Amino acid sequence: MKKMIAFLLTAILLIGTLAGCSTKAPAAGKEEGSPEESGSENTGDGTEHGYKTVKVGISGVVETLNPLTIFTTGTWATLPAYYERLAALDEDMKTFSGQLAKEWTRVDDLTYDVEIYDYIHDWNGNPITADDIIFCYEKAIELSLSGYLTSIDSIEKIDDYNIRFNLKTNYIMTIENILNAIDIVSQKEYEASADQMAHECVGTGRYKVVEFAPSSSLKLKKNENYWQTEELTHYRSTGEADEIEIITILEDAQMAVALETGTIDVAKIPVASAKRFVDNPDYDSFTASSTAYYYLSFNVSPDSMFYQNKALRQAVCYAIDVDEIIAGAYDGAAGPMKSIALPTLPGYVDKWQEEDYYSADVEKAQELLADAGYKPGDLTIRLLILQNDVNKAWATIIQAQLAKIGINVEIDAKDSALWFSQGQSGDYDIVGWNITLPHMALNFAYGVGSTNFYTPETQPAYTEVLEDNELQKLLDACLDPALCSDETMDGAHQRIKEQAYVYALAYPQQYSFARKELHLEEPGYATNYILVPNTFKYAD
Amino acid sequence: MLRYTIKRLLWMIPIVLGVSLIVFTILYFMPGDPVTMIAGASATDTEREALRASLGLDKSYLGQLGTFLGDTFLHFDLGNSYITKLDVAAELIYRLPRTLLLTVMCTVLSLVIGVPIGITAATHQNGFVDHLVMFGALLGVSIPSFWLSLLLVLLFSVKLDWLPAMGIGSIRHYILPAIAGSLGGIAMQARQTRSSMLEIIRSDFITTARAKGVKENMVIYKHALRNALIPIVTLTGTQFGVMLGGTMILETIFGIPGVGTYIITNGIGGRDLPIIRGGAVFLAIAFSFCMLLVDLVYAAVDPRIKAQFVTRRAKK
Repeated sequence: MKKMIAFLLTAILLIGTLAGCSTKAPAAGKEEGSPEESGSENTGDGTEHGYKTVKVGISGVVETLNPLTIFTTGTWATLPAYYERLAALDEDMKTFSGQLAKEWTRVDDLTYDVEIYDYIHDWNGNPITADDIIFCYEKAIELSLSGYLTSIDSIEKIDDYNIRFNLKTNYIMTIENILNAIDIVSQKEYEASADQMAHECVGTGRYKVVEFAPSSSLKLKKNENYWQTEELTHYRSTGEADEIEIITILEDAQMAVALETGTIDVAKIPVASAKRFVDNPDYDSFTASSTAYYYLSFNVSPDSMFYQNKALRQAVCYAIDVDEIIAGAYDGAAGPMKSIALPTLPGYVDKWQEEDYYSADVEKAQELLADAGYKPGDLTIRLLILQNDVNKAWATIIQAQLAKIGINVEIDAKDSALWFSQGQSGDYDIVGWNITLPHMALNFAYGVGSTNFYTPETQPAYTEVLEDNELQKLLDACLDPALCSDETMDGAHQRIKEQAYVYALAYPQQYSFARKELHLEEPGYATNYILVPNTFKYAD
Repeated sequence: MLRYTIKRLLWMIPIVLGVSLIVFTILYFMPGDPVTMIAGASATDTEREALRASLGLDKSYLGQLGTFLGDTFLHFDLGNSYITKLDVAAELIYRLPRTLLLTVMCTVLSLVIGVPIGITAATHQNGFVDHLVMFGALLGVSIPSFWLSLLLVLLFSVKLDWLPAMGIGSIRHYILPAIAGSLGGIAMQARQTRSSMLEIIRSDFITTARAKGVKENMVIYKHALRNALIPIVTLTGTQFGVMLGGTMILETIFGIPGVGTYIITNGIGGRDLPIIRGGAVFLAIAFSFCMLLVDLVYAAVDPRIKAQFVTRRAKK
C-alpha cells in the first residue's frame, strides 16, 4: 500500500513537472511562443537571416485574437498589425481616413453611405464585401462591444461594396468613431472558427500571426500578399519590419531589465526606470504625451459643499500649485494642462495653452474661501483617486497645498473598478478623473456633464453643471457636427474654466527607448499613446 | 482505504458547493460594478442597462445564483469571461501546467532543502548551527517574494546573464521564480521539521534505539524522521494547495501567464465575475484534492493511521 502511494506521489510530481515543460495550447494549430532568453541571438543590428526582426515589450495582455471583443491595453498595441477597420486615425492623431473604406459621404444628418475598396481580401484569399462588414457590425452590436455603436439605428447593404449607416444620433465625430469602432473579418472565416478566432485568426492586415501564446507573446510576419497598394495603404496598416515579436511584461522594473538584457528591442519605460536609458549611447530615446493625465472633478450635487459655490471651487483651484505637482509627482516629466484632455486632440483650441489657468495664489485662495462662507479648518474634503503611485503622490501634494488655506483633505485611493463606480456615485467631494475620448467636445460632454447623456437623477454629482443652461447650450453646439467650431469650443472651455467645474492637472510625458542597432527613427502610437509596433519607422 | 477515499471524494461536493455559494454571495454584494468597468466612462445609462441585461446581471440574487450553480454543477460550465469572451474552464486548463510546474518546483525545493536543515537544527539544538538555521528561517519568512524576485533578476539575469529574467520558453525560465517562491516554504519546512524532530528525539524508543547501538544516522533518518513526518506532510500539502492559486506575484514579475494572474489580475482587477467564480471553484477542488492526498500519505507514513482503517473494516 505504502509503495503504491509513494509511486502515486512520485508520478503526480513527475507529471506536474513535465506538464509545465510542454505547454501546448489546447486549440488545434496553436503554437507556444516564447520570448527569447537574455543573450539574444540577434546579430546586433536588429536583423536575423537578412530580415528586420523587432521585439517590442508591452505592458498589456493579449489573451485572444478574437476581433470582436472588448479592447484592452494589449490589443490596442497589436490589433492594427493583423486586422483593419473601415476607417482609422492618421499619423497626426487628429484626422480619420479610410482603411477598408474608400470614402464615406453624408446623405443627411442621420445617414451616411460608406464605399469600401472592391479588391480587399484576407490572408486566405476571401474577398471582403458589404456582407462581411454588416456581419461584423451586427455581431459587435449584439455583444455591446462599443458605446459608439449604440448610435447606429440600422445598417443596410446597398451593393457588394456600399453600405448605408442609419444613425439614431449624430454628435461630433460619431460616424468616424463608428467606422473606427471594430475590426473587420470575413464572416465565412469567423463562423468556421471553433473559438471565434481566439487562438488562430484570419485578418486582412499587413502582418499575419504566426505564433500566439495567450497572455505571453505574439509573433507576426509580414504578409507578402497584402491586398492594398503602397500608395493607398493607411498609416495604421504600414509595416517596415519583416517580423515583429510582441512580448507582455507586466512588471515595470522587468520591462527595463528586458530592454537592458536584449530580451526586447523597444519598450515604453516608466519615468522611474527611464533615467538609466536617457543618456545611454546604446539606446535611442523618444518622448510622447501620455494619456495617464487626471483632472479634478468637483461634486456639484445639491447636498455637496461645492453646489452653487463657485467661490469655494475657485478657492481650491487657486490653492493648487501644479508646478509643485509636476516636480513632485512626475519628476518634472509633465506639462501643465489647461483643459481636461491633451492639446493634440481634435477640437482643442491652441490658444488655451497660452492662457492663464488658476495660477497658484494662496492669498487669493484664502479670500475666496472666506467669500464662500468658510473659515480655515471648517472643511474636510474627501478626494477619490485611482490607486497608483503617481496619483497618490499628486494627491498628497494637493492635500498639503489645501492645508495651507485650512482645508483638510482625506485621500481615498481605490482600484479601477471601485474608482469607476464610486466616483460616479456622488459620495466624494472631489474625484480625480481621467477621460480620453477622441474629440474635446466629447470629453467636455462626458467629463464635465452634458444633458445629452446625463440627468441629475442618474448623475447627481453633475447637477449644477446640468442645470447650467448657458454651458449646456454651448455643449450642444460643440456636439453638433454642423455647429462645432473653434468659437463654440472656446465658449464651452471658457465657461467651464470660469465656473471652475473641473481643475486640470498635468499631462505626463512618457519615454520609449529602442536599442541603437535597431535604427528606429520614430515609433508609432495608438490614440492613447500606446506603442503600435507595426507602425514603427526605421532609418534605412 | 478505498472506501475512505470515495467518502472523501463525495465530501468534496458539498465543500465545493459551499465555497461557490460563499464566493458568489461575496461577489454579489462587493462594491465595484463590472458593467461600469466594461462599458467605460462614456457609456450612457441606457447602454449600461443593455449590457447588464446581456450579461444576466439584471436578475435577482437568487436568479443569478441559480444560473451560476446550474451551469457549474449540472453542465460543468464555468462561463465565459465578460471581457475576452473566452471559456473560463479552458483558460484555467491552459494556464494550469505553468502554475503546476512552478508549484511543484517550489514544493520540491522546500522539502529538499528545508527538511534536512530542519533536521540539522534539531540535532544541534541550541548550538551555533541551530541558531543560524533559525535566523535564516526567520529571514526566509520575512523577505517579501517580490523583492527577492527582483534581486535575483538583477543578479542572475542582468549582471551574470546566467538565467532568463522572464518568460515561459523552457525550464530555465522557471528557476528564478522557483527560488524566489520557495524561500518562504524552505523556512517554514525547516522550522516545522526542527520542532517535530525535537519532540520525537526525546522519545523513549529513540533512546532505546541508541542504546541498542543503532547508528546515529539510522536513528535520525529512519526512526525519528519517519515519526516526525506527519506535520511536515500537512505543511507540504497546505503549501502546495495555497501556491496553486497564490503565485500571482511571481507570475506577474516573471511574465508567466498562470492561474494566479488570471484569477487576481484578470478576474478581481477587472471585476470579471466568471473568472473569479470559476477560479474559486477550481481552487476549492484543487485544495480538496491536496488534502485528500495528504490524508492518504498519512496512512502510508504512519502504520497506526492505516491500522485504524483496517481495524474498522475488521470490526465490521
